[in-house]
Amino acid sequence: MTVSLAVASLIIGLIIGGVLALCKIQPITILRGFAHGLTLLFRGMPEFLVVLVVFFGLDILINTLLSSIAMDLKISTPKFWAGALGLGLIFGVYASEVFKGACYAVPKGALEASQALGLSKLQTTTQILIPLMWRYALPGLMNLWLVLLKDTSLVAVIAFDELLRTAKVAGETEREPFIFFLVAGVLYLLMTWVSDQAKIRVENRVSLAGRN
Amino acid sequence: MTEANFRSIYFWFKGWHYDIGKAVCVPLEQILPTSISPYCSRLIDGFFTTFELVALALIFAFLLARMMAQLLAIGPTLSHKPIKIYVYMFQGTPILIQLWMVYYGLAQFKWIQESAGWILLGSGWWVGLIVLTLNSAAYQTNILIGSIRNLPQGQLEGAHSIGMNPRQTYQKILFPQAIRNSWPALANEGILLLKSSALVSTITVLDLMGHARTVFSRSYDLWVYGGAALLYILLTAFMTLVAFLIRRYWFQSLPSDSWFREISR
Repeated sequence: MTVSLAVASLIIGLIIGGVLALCKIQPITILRGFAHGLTLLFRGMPEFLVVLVVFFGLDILINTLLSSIAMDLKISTPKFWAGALGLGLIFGVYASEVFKGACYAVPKGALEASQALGLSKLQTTTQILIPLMWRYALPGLMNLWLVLLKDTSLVAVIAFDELLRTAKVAGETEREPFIFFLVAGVLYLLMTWVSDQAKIRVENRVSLAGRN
Repeated sequence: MTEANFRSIYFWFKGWHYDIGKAVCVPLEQILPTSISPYCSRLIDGFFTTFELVALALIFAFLLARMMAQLLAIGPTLSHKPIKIYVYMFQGTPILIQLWMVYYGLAQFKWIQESAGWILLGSGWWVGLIVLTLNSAAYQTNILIGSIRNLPQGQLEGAHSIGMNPRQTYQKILFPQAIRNSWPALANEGILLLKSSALVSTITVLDLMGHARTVFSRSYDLWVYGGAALLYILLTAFMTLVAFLIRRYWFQSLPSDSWFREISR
């Protein structure tokens, strides 16, 4: 559950991050200001607060929408998607900064060449900028992934049964909470270790590709 | 120290939190939305609780990290492995699991409940302080040792050649430079710790987040979280300012400024 939650938030976060990064590098002031303001806001707020606000906010939103179209049923917010959306928002905001940095790292010549070839702005972005940017963005994104993996534990507080909450509930029923928390901690360590190894591989590959 | 002593200290702190809360909230009563104005002084109390917790944790963690970085840099080889394992463990697991493991997990053992340390381990605030300190110390150790490893090797040799012993080398040469180089990273870690300190509300501490959650569970009104978010952003801004001022006024006229970097090349 933890891994699927992390992957779902990763996908949501990458989409949000990509859109925000595009907002930040284009020339329209309002969009740029909006993206920067959002970044400032989410970076100043604790992740925990964001997750709670998204969860309860979605709950209220869905129920008001339902009652406004006069449907007389209560739907409880799917915890998985509320959690994934909250974590994705946080990830996206940080990722947008990484993407922005990566976009600036793309050599100017490549963009100028694409203009010389007569590609439109949209084509330049999708066919030149984004493929070239990945290499610079990957190490930063791997760091964020490590943070995200640890942040998934926050979702335990809104009673979604991921690794930490399962450990807590099992520990309480077996009356041995320490052992269960220990096992959960080891599992988290295992996940971060695997990600760490992957990160080292990716960084080596990326730096090699840069040299050629 | 008995439990009664702890309790009186606790109430003294709470007392002046609420005094300030009253002073701030009474003028604001008309401006604030009606849903949060009755709870305003509680949020202010939470604000100061969070601030004290984070400030104390950061100070203790810094002292610990300084010690551990010293051991890693010049200490006996025997001490390297345990410190590395400690750092890896605290960096690799979520802080929530560390808090819960100490607060809920340790209660499993009878002998800990009967020992003298239970005054600390039985109270959420102290567990929060201990865990936040240990967690931040791990991150700060990593930052400091990384910065020390990045210093030019000639510095060590130079210090050695003018007859400094390893301890002096660390205290007079390595550490002062390392802390200046890594100050932005340390400030960043402070802000991250501030944000993870919201998690102590899950172990019954009434910090800013704890108060916000209690109030929310009564009124079910999202504005409370908005107010808490605003106060958190205020705290973040304040910490950024403090970090900037320390950098500006303490680290300015000392080595590792531009002129020093020129000659140390």
